[in-house]
Amino acid sequence: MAKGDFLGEFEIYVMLALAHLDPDAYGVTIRREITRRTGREIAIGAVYATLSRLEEKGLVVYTLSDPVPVPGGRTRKHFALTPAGVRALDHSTRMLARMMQGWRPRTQPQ
Amino acid sequence: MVADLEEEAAARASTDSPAAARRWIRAQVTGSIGPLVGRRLEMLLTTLKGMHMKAWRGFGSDLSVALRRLRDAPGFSLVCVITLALGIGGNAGVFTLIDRVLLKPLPVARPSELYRVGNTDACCVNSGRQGSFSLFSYDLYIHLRDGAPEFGPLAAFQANTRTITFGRPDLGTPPLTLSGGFVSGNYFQLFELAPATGRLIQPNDDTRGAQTVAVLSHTAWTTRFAGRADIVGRPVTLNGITATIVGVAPRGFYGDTMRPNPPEIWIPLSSEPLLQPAARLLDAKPLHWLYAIGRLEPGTAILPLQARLTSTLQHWLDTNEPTPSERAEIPRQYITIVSAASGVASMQASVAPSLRLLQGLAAAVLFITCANLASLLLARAAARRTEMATRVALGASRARLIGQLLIESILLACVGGALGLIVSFLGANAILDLAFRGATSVPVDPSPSWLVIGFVFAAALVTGVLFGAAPAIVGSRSDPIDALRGAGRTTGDGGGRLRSSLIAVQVALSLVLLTCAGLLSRTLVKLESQDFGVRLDSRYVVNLAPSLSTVAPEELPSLYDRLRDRLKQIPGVRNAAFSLYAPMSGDNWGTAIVVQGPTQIERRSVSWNRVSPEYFETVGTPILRGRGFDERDRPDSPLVAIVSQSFARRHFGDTDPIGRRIGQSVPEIEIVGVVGDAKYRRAREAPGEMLFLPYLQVTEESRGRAVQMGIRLDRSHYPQAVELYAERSPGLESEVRRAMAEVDSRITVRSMLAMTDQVAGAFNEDRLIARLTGTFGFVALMLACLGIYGVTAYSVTRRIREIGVRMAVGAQGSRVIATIVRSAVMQVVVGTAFGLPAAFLAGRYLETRLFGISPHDPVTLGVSVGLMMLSAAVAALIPASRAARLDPVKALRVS
Repeated sequence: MAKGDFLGEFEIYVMLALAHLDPDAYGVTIRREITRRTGREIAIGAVYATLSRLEEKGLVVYTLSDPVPVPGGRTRKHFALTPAGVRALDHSTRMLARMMQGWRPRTQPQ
Repeated sequence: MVADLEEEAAARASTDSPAAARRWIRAQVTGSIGPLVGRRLEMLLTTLKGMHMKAWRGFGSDLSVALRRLRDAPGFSLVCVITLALGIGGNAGVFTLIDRVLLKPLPVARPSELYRVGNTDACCVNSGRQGSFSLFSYDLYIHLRDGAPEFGPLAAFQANTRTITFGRPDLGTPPLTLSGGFVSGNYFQLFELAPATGRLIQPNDDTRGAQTVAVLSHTAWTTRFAGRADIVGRPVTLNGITATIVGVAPRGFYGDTMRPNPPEIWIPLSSEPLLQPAARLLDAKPLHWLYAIGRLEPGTAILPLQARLTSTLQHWLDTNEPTPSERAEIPRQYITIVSAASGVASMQASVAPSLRLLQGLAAAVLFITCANLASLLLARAAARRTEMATRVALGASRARLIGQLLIESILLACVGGALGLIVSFLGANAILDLAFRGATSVPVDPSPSWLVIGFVFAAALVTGVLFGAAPAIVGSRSDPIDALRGAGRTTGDGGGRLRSSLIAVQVALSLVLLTCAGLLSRTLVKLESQDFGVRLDSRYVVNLAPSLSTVAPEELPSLYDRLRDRLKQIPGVRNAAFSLYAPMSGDNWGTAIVVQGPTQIERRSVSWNRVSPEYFETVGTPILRGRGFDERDRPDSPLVAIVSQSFARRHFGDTDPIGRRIGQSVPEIEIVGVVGDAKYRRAREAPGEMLFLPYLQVTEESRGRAVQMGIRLDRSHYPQAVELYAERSPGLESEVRRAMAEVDSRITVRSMLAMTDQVAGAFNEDRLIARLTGTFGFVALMLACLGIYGVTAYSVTRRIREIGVRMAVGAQGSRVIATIVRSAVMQVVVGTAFGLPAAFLAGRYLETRLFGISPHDPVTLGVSVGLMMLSAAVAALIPASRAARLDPVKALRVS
């Protein structure tokens, strides 16, 4: 992978959330998943901005769902990792893991 | 995203308090603004970058399309590039010379501060009143220098160069002849130069009794002494006098005057009497031979200084024993101070008109080049209408099409410009070679300067846009419907009139150039084939260095006798003679004479020469009455003279001049013969009145001059030219040199020339201009023909169906040819109608350069028009005859 294609921390969060949530990943669930796991309140705008960037890089794609079967039900943008996205996530997490070898976090996340 | 928020809010409303839900949503909204706005900006930047890339890709694809187009039509591209290379190269070559010769200042420190005292080109030695004084005797120079402290230094130097015999007694090698200049001690200080090696001449070198020193030019140092540093400090001899080379001037410094064969060695003025004892000038108060240049602080008022120097000059003249008539002239003697940033700009002044003429010619050729290429591209653009129409139909914008065509033509112009640079270098070199034929070194560097490179590429670019724009605009005005009709069937022809007028312009300009070339070539022929009054065939001139000046006067008669006898013994030599100077050598001696008439004594100014026995027989001037000089005319025999026919007619009318008396100051000389008129100085003027004196008879005048200069014999008695009447043979020159060395080792031969070459040398500039004009005229004619050919060929292609129909219904091939050729000749006729008046004007402009021919010479004009018509007809005939050979059936099938 070329230099400069490393994923940012938040990008990794969003992509991992996609991986965990597949196939039910859309704005609300992604945000919730990240909040649930990290305990951080995330702005929905930040999620969408990141998704837009990842999409531009060709790492995620979305499909429009059928409208939700309720009156005025909306269509949702369901996001999923592309094969390139999977490779990028693989690569970044492996690198992160390598960098973490021998490092033990001294505090527990709240 | 808003929907997501709604969904979340709905979910929260069921678990949290409404206030908490609202707080949460507010936090979500405010927290989203930053990332979203940031992302927008990010996307904007990406888009901009993408657009930029796309634009470059567009240019790149245009470029590759253009290259493919040009490669697909190699003939067309080659013709375009060659014509451009010639057009641009010719211009750049001439511009190089203009830059190097006219625009470039002296290669010295702050040349703009240099000013010259005097403004005329009054070379080389003058004893009279000059009006605007420019030449000064040494004594006068000292007066002016001391009277004008404003000049940083005011340096003086000899107006012309002198041949110096340079010996190496330490090596025993044969002496060299160098071109030398005598300069004042502050000369190099004035220019603020740093030596390449050693030191330069300093003021204390220029004092009486100081050891003789000399400085070599960088060119002489590298070419004659291989750049060896050990020449510095070596004892050498200069004209037999021991001297020391103290240093070498910096590279590129050619002295005070741009000229061919600039000084190779500089020697202080104080050594001048030692080096040329018989012709010494330093102490001769009335002989003016020095130019003066000084440095002025910026802002120095010139006019008051000029006025003060004028009064210094007049005072000096007044105190130097003027005769009453001379005294009356003093108030009319003055001094003008002019800028000397280019040094003594005599060469610049003399070549400027020729260079400007060449520039005009080159510009006309460039213009024709542009017009020609425009018509070629226009024809091509018209041929590509289908392509253009298809592109328009497919949605190409007009701007993009024009851009595409412009790129094509600019590409052509740049390739042509690059080749033109090479042409310009070769051209400038060739012009310099021709202009200074026979010169061993020329201080002009023909390699293009950055200014010229800039000029060439500007010319290439302007040309590209100029000849690219019109076809591009016409070409892009394509109607998409045309694309559906197919080529060769349309009748509308955008640019047809533009093409015709471009051809007419080319014809008109070519006609002007052809006429100029014709007039100048015929002038050259008339100049060279005129009757000079001397014979040119089998005649030779040997130029001597003035080294004989060390020979004692009493030795001279026998030395000259031995020399003539020895020369006549060389096989093939029929006769030999000497003279003070040879015909058409550029030299001239003038004198005032008195003529004893029946009633009174008349004073006049004429040219005179000293010649040996059998001189007239040797050079081939007929003796009309009386006799030539012979062995009777010894130094101690009665004074005799021979006059030219025009001299005799002028002073004695129809009466017999034989036996009449004339003289330079008193009528002491008897005329014994009359010879035919001959041209000695100016080939373009009628022969002047000439007076010939025997080479050893001392007149009152020459005795007086010798006394005045403190020498025993006036230098007019030392001949500087030997004339030979001899069969041409390869070994002649070495035989002559050997014979001279045998008679006396002090004789130094400077050069030996056939008389035809000597005369031809006088027309170097005329020949150069005639040849260049001829070349430009030829190129212009070729270009115009190429244009006519291209346009005719194109129109034949367009009218191929029409021609097919005509021939199918019975038109003869000759009729078809006639129709096509007639329309081409019509364009030439229109061009001629504009060209003839222009040619008339050009002839008027050239008038001063012409000789023996009218500026409106009907033969030249007729030949030019005829040549133009004939070439145009031939150019049109090629495509026309191709059309006439068409098979009508095939022609009709052409889609």
